[in-house]
Amino acid sequence: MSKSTASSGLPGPVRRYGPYAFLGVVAIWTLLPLFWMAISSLKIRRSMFEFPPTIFFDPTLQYYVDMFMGSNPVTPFLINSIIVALGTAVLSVSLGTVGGYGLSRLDLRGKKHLAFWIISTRMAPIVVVVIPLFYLYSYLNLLNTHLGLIIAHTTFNLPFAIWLMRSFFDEVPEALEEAARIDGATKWEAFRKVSLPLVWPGMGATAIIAIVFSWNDFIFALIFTSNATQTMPIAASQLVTQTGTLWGRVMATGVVILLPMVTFGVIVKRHLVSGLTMGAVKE
Amino acid sequence: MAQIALNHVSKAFNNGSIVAVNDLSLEIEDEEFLVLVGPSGCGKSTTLRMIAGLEDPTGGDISIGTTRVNNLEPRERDIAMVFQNYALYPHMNVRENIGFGLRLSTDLSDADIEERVEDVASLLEIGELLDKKPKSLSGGQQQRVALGRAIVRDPEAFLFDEPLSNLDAKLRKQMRTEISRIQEQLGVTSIYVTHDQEEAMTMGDRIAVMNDGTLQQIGEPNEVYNHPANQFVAGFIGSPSMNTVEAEAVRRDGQTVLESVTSDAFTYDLDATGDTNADLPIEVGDRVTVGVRPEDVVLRAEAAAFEGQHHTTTVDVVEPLGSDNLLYFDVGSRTWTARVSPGFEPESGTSVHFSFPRKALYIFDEEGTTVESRNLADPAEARQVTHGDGGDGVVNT
Repeated sequence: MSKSTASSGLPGPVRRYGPYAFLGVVAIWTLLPLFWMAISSLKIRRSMFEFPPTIFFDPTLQYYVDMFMGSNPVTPFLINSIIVALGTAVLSVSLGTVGGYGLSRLDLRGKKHLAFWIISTRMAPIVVVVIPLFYLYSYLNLLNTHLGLIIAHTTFNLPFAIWLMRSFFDEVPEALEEAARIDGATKWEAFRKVSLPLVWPGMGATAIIAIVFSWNDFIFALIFTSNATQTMPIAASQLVTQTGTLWGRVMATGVVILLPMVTFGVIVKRHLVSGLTMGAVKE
Repeated sequence: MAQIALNHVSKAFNNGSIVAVNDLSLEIEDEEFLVLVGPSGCGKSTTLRMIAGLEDPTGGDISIGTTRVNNLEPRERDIAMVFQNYALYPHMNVRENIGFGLRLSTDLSDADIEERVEDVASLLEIGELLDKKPKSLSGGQQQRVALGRAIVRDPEAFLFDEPLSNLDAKLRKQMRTEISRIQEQLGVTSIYVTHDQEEAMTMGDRIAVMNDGTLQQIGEPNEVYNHPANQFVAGFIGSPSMNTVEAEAVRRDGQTVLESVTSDAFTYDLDATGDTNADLPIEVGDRVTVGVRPEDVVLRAEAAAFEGQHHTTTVDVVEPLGSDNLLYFDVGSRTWTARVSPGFEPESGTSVHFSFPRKALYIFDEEGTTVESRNLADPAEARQVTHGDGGDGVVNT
């Protein structure tokens, strides 16, 4: 211990516990609002605004019951969110995989510029493109459709998806595909049977990014949809009414929006971290 | 099985600015084991990749058997390749790795494929590894799987791209023998690329030496070793490398003498033995390079041990190898090496005397082309000859 203290110039306990303290602060910073939202969704309105706040109280599930059973239930919004998020994920991952593979493998002149151009489309803020897209969508009859929203979300996800998948394909040695082609595979078979299975984790990561973006998007959903296709964030925003804000349902809706993402994240985390090429090549 | 022919094959990259392979013509006989050897970047791997179909030649024809394969996909060429990094499919176990090619390129039933995989696995002694993933195998085992993947398909030809360079020295020697044994057993035409001249010498039926994209020489290992076509081949084949010194042919007392061009006064009297080679195409005033193999250098502690011409030098370093010692010393500002018997181990800094037989001499002209190469029937002959013993120089241009 004394040696390491000397080398870093920090006292032993700081070196040892400092990182934990820092991570603890970050964790509280991140998790406290979510925790607040979660417990508030279980409180009756009066105790929600008590000061000092009560830690022990009689929990109620009334807001959750209202949300699904009461007036203006959240279920159609939830279904719309799921359809749009999955559609976006499928489209972004498929196109991103193909595009990323091309960018990784093809020997194109000006490949760097092409790659930069792809990511640069993501640099404009969403609000800049929303109005022109609205007009385009109205000509194409894509307003108030799931497909319209999926296309809008995919447009914004695709640059990330392509870049991410390109870096995953870069990790797969080209020799594997060459070996497959000599073994009797066509280029397509080498891609499908050798490279594609190896970028599974990358496709998972891309899907998560696409789903999170789509699930949380508010602006596109607000402008391009009406009753039939509105998503969860719109449902939450509608709880701010002229007669007041329905805080309990806002909190409960927040929890319902958050929960699938957290569950999803925990499930795929392990797969994302696992080794990518799994010892394909001895360098 | 088939023969493979390359006819004036060239490969240029970047619109012709980089020529990797330049007008290469080669014929590999049926069942032959040809080793393509050369330093990194000499075009040997590119040549192999063109035969495999992974690179398109920019000129010339490649044929396997009687078929011109230039426009065929790799899978249509019926060849198998072993890669330097093995290129095992990491998501498949050993069984699936070996069987992958059979599944894709044949109509064999699952049972037949299984049987052939098992056969190959037992040939390579990896039967107990069949259900493991490549990640959990050692380098040597991965190498065997890669070999198995090539063998199982019973192809027209094997292509090896530096397959042993990632293994440690001991395993490399073991696998070297094994690959040779299997190749002989199966009788499959093989092309083996390596930068290791020792691998080339020990494994090849014939070796083809390449440099800068150009074929330097092709021949049986001993022929290439004893009669290199030029100074590059002479220096590349053989370890330790051939000793060389730049010299000029001068006339002295009616004798033709090779005299070192650097400050050091190294001279070698070509006619001292009275056995002048009249055919030796050297004129007085010609610049040449003199070469001697380390095993042909005779070193003695006493000058009296030599009857004929000899030189005195100072021992720089002695490297004991067990079976023999390597002695390093300076000649004409070049470091020379001599391979001597293990009993002879002078301290560094001691004065020693060296000579070499006339028959052991290599002479290269200014372009590096071999003018004369050594003419020792038996390399051990050198050690018994303690003075310049004249003989017919073999002219090899």
